[in-house]
Amino acid sequence: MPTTSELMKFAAPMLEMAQTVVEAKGEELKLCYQCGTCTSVCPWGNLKDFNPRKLIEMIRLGFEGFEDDSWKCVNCKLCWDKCPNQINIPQIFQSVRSILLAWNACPPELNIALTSLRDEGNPWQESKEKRDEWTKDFPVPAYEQGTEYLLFSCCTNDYDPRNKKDIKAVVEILNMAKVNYGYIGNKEVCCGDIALSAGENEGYGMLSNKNLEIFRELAVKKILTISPHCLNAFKNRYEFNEGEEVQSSHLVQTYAKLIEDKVLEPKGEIKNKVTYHDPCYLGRHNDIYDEPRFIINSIPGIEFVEMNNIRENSFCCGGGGGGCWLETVKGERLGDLRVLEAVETGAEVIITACPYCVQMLEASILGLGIDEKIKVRTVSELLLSSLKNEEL
Amino acid sequence: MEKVGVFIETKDKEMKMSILGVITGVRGEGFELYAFVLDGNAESYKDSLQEYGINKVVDLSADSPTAEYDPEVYAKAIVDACKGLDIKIIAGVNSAIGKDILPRVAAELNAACILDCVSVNLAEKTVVKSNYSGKTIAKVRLSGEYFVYGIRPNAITAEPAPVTAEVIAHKAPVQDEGRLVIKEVKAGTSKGVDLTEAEIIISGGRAMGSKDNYKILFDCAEVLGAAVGASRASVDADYAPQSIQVGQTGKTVSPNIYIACGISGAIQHLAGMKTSKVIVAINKDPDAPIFTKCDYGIVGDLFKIVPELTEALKR
Ligand SMILES: Cc1cc2nc3c(=O)[nH]c(=O)nc-3n(C[C@H](O)[C@H](O)[C@H](O)COP(=O)(O)OP(=O)(O)OC[C@H]3O[C@@H](n4cnc5c(N)ncnc54)[C@H](O)[C@@H]3O)c2cc1C
Ligand code: SF4
Ligand code: SF4
Repeated sequence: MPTTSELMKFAAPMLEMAQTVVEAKGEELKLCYQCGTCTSVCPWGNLKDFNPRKLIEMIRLGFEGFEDDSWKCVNCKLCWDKCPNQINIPQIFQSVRSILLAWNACPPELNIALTSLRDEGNPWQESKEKRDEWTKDFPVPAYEQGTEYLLFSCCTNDYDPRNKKDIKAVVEILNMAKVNYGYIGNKEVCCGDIALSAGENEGYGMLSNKNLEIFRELAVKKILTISPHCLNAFKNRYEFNEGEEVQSSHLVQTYAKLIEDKVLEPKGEIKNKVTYHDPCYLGRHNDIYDEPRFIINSIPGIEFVEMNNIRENSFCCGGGGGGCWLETVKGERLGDLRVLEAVETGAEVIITACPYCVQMLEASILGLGIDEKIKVRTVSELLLSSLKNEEL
Repeated sequence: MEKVGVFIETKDKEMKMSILGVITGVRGEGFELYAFVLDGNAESYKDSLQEYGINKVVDLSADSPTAEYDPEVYAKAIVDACKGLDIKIIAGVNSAIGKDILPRVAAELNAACILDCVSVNLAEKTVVKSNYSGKTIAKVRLSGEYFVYGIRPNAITAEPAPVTAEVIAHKAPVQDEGRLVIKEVKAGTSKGVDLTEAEIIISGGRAMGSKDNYKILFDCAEVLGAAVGASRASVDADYAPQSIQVGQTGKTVSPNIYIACGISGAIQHLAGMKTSKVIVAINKDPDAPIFTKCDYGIVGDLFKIVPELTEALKR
């Protein structure tokens, strides 16, 4: 029988792996003391054998077998918040992904999105000239120097037929409230969030630099985001120069303020039972929990019920970290669990505030065949329905 | 002479050609090659096997029938043959079946087992394996009495080295213990024209409502010489197999004509077919997003329109 150390030698063909990950910004790898908290809180544990603690150890020891699983992490941040050492675990996976990418070992469907990001500045394989197509019959004010807010639309809202409905609701509300905002149309490129989470650092650098250039050229001071992923990129990842005071906020914050100040008065009754899904990037990544709930509660007639896993403990839809571009077999989708949790509350509508969540939850609803029972609407769509006294 | 046993994978009375690469990889001076055939058709594979250097074709049978693949019976029969014929080296293709059977054989023989090799050197008892998706190459040396090698399909190019083979029979006293029952084998790929190469595709969405209803699409496809595709929602509902899913996480297709029936046109579906030359959409909802991407749109019930289309095309 071989001894354990002989076995280790045999099974650890690449001890340099750990060093490579550390060099790719994964240095927190070293701090892990293998307590396993991350594994116990990770949402994947409800569906499959996915073990971040073990993956970290495999990477440290240079064991093979972490590669495929490294693409699973959806950057929901639950483990990072609960880790006793506050290890940024999703960052470790990002570092691993950057190495896998350099080896051309990226899942093909994600690769298509990354290529599209480089070529077209959006992950949807759509032409960069067509980003503003939805504004042709739906005028949106253009951003000019001096406009208060730059409305950063997000690729998914510009191109996805479903989410175009949401951005149109946004525009209507901002117009009603006479907010001083503008859109930059085809000058916008993806915020780069998915490039970053896929470990595509070069693509991310290119995209963020392009946006930064435009922000500088137009002397932008305030950015209003619709997608929490854009918000997170601007607030927590972009490298603004010192002294550049650019404030980024999310629409729900604007709405809450406008309602508080009575600029917007949602008067139309919405007679639905609704629940709210906290997007990970709005909640855990950016601590925005109260505003969406305040907006929902300001709508007359509405019945608001909470799910079990909310706020800091919200359960991910599965769309972050590149999840929106990866296939997950039926029966292993996080979105399915979230939708079923919502159904359990008796709600007929899931309200949320992120285009990825909309896509993932709606696809899960269709996949489960329960579209007669429950639907997904954004905070903007809800608010607009009440403002216009229409059905949700 | 050291003896080497090669497991011959067969299906529907045909030999998997990838085994010829394995035979090429394991033959050499000082080795005598035995081919284990379990489906009862040893004689019919003899010509091809001797062409590549097999010396003995073992018509291997057991007390229980072996015409159909059964991993337990197969593995035990192979083990019995190895012991009876004094074979200590066993090789096979690292296919799904190979990965099923070779470790079972190794476990029974307490053999050193190594799978997914890209080359083997039997004299040195070394193999080459690639790791980390091909970024590192490891040369591994094995030790022990018995050796089992799974060789990656097509890793070694098959080259003929003709000899004259002899068919010998070996009956293993192996009974099926019934621990494992194969209830059904589902074929993975769809019938008909290959989706990614088709010039015309007719796809169905969740509106199809059932697997049986897909028949109207297959009927139409037959007249058109088209392949049939599906949306993910219809795959999720088990109306269609995953192998024909079109979209971001399914197949990317670019036929001359793409006919979408009862598909709403979600961005993930569009991602897989929007480069089609001509897109036709049939949907009862005039506001369905698919209509913004199509060249021809028909607002109406697909269950009326598709059969009518099939009839019209027949004429
Ligand atoms: C990560 C991820 C990956 C995905 N990948 C893919 C993918 O690769 N491919 C894919 O297709 N989807 C994919 N999806 C799912 C996608 O978002 C949609 O849920 C799906 O495409 C919807 O399928 P559908 O159009 O068949 O169903 P639905 O959206 O329910 O559309 C059915 C349509 O049929 C119409 N209809 C109903 N009855 C009739 C009738 N009698 N006659 C005519 N029309 C009728 C309706 O008006 C409706 O427009 C993915 C989703 C996610 C989140
Ligand atoms: S929770 Fe933190 S310390 Fe514990 S195993 Fe996970 S990464 Fe390591
Ligand atoms: S970020 Fe979320 S998905 Fe990723 S490992 Fe942590 S808990 Fe799991």
